Amino acid sequence: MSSHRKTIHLIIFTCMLFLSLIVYLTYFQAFRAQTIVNNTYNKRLWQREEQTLRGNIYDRNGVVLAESVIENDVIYRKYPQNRLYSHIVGYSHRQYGRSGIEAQYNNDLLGYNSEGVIDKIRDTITGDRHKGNHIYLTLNHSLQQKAEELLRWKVGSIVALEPSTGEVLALVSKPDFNPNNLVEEWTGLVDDPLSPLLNRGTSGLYPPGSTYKVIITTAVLEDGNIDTNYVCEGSINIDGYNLTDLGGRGHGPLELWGSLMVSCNTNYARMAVELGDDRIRGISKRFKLEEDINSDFNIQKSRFPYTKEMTKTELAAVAIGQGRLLVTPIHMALVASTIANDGYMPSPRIIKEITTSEGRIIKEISTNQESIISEEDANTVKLMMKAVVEDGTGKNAEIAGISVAGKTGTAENPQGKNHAWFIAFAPVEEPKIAIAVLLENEGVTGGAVAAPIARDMIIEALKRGVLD
Amino acid sequence: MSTIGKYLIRSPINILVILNLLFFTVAQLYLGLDDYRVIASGGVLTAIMVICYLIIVKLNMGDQYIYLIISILTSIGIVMLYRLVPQLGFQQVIWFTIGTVLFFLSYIVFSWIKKWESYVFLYLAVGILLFIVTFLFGSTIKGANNWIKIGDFTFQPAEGIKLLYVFFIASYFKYPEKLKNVYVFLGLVYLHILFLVLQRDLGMAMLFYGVFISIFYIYHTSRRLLFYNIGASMLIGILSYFTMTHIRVRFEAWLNPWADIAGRGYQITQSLFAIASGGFFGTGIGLGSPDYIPEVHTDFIFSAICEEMGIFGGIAVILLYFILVYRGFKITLMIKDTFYRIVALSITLIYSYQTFIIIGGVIKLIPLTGITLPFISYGGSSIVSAFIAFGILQALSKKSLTGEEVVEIE
Repeated sequence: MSSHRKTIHLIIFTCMLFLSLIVYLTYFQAFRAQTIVNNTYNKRLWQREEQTLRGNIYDRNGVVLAESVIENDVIYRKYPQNRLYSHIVGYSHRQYGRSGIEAQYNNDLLGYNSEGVIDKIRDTITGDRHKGNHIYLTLNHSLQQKAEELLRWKVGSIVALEPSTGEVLALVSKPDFNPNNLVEEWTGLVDDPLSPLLNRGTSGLYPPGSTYKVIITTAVLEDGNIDTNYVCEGSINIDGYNLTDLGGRGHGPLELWGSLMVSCNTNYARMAVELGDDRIRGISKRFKLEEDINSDFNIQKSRFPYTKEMTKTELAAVAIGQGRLLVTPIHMALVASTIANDGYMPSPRIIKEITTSEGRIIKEISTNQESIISEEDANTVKLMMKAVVEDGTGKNAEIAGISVAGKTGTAENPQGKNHAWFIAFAPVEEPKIAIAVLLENEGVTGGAVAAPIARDMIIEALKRGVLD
Repeated sequence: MSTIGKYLIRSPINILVILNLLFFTVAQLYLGLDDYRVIASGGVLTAIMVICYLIIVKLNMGDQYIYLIISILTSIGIVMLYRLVPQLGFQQVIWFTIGTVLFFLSYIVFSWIKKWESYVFLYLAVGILLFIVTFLFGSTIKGANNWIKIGDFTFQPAEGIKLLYVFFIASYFKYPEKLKNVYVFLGLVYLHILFLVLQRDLGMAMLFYGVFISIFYIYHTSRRLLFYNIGASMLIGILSYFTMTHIRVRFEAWLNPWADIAGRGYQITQSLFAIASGGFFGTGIGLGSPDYIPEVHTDFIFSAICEEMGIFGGIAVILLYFILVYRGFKITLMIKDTFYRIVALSITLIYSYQTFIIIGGVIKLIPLTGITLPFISYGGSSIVSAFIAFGILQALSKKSLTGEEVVEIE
């Protein structure tokens, strides 16, 4: 082969090299670039954010919960309420990322989804900082403060809702952290066995204990054919398993009302076995166990992990809120809301409105509710729960002048001491507030420790008129 | 429109003038209006380019496009440098001026001296000597021990050896009998590459090997020896992957840089972030953030161009190199004499391979090896040697046109 022809080969080879560069570059830009740009290691993403004045977060009355301040031309994120809103508002930190509302509504706070091309060009030319949107939450600062005070030094959560709208009025989870001091506290927070970063109110999963009897009660009422009369002897044998009542002493002769008032495990176990898999599974599903709860913030799905038909012992365990059942405190507050709200479960809401930096409203709360049980059954359960507080296990939640409905729960916990529960709403005639209180590993009954907390919350909310 | 079009077509230098007017105005606006040095230096630069272009045309110095394309590439580089590190922009203008002087000087010297093909031992000796000097007195910059420091002044001897190496190969193929046999020649070529590998200058080693194997393919008659060479180099490549950690690190960073973005994949991922952020049309000069890429003013300048001028800007740069290389091949094909032909071809190949190695590296088409982007990257040694090389090519184009070498002296 002549050297001339070989030279031509080499020229063709070189052309291919240049061509491959162009082809690869085009391929890269067309198919790969988008994912690469959005990689969190791309500093350009943060750079744009550094030029943006992130919007503030307020409670329903305009109390500042998170704000951006400019010091020496650098924007800082400040949380004036320190620990009070650590879980629900969360944090936005260059090094540790984001959590809570700061994470979920990041784009709204930065105002990226509402900005037009023109705005962007204008900001680039004028050098103005892009301004994000402000968020007003449904939270009530006074009630939140009270909830935090009641839960201080404890481990657990308080969730307070408005039953008719599903608006979250207070949500506290303990232990908490100070979003202003992340740098100093981070290692401790991550290593702490009590997981202070976890929002127990929305993501903590616990066995509901006897509070679940509220749901079972609605199933009994709906069925109508269950014999509710029963003589409690303190224990019952179901398929070889012995199930006892708290304290071990028998409650004597009971019907449905009395069983809920004294929280009789044995009668509920017996009734659940009679109701059978279909009824128990059906009512649980309708009350959103193992279902997604429609909400404008992240809620962990509650667990009802029975895929096959439940055995009698499993039915008995579910009846008293044990077994493999797991719920979040906010979910139990929704259960209380459903009873309070004539059988309609509201969709929980936390965003009251989103406004631009100039104050123009761009997004407003839209409430939504779903029928779970009939109004008649709901009203019956409502009165039964009222009796629980007046004459039953929930006596500690009684308030002079306000009728309170509630249900206690003391959940056995295979990993440690019992969890104490109390769910309540008030006033019974026209419910304004629904509450779930959970105290982790308290080792005492819900009636003893959780009910007084719910009582104080209701007093704060109704007597002192914070809700008005 | 048509009058402007005609005006542009009448002389391609007008394109360069308009381009520079735009470039340097933008650079001036980016850096602020209180210091007019940018636009002033742009004016001086453009004036030099226009005058030199006219000299080449009027004095009939051969190919009219080489200097023009080099000027456009350098202008793009200088504008990017003004935007990245303004101080380096001014220095690059000086390097360009020195380079232009050397371009004409090497044109004259190369045309004036005859018998370039008879100094095979001189090229070899000076080249090896430079390697040894680098080895003994060299300092390590950016992980490669290939710099010599004299006072405040540093230079890369490999850039000079590059040209000596081309002359060495060309004169060997002109008079192969001067070296006892082909194995001695091969030994000496591999000695060059060995020095580069020991200095950890992998890009340059690849370049030297690429040029050698290409010329060897064309001018060596035994195909078997060619395959042995390719086989042996592959074996060496695989061996060095297992024995030398810095080679393995580079290879792994190429395969999956996302596995270790903060560590070994840092450079390449920063480069890819920049290119991806630019999109097709770029952010505009001064509006991107190419400063996040380490070594952006030298090895990674192409990524900065892609971020701010888009991949269309990047492809335009690639096409400019392609036209330059095309001119080189055109000149090569018109030369009959083996020595001059190999010199022309080698210079063309060196700069096309070098462009491919660094652009392919920063876009992650091939493993990344540090080498400069000809005429655009900042760097005195690289600019100067490139201008000398293309000055020689300019002289060769003149030869090919006048048919001076038509009668082969055997």
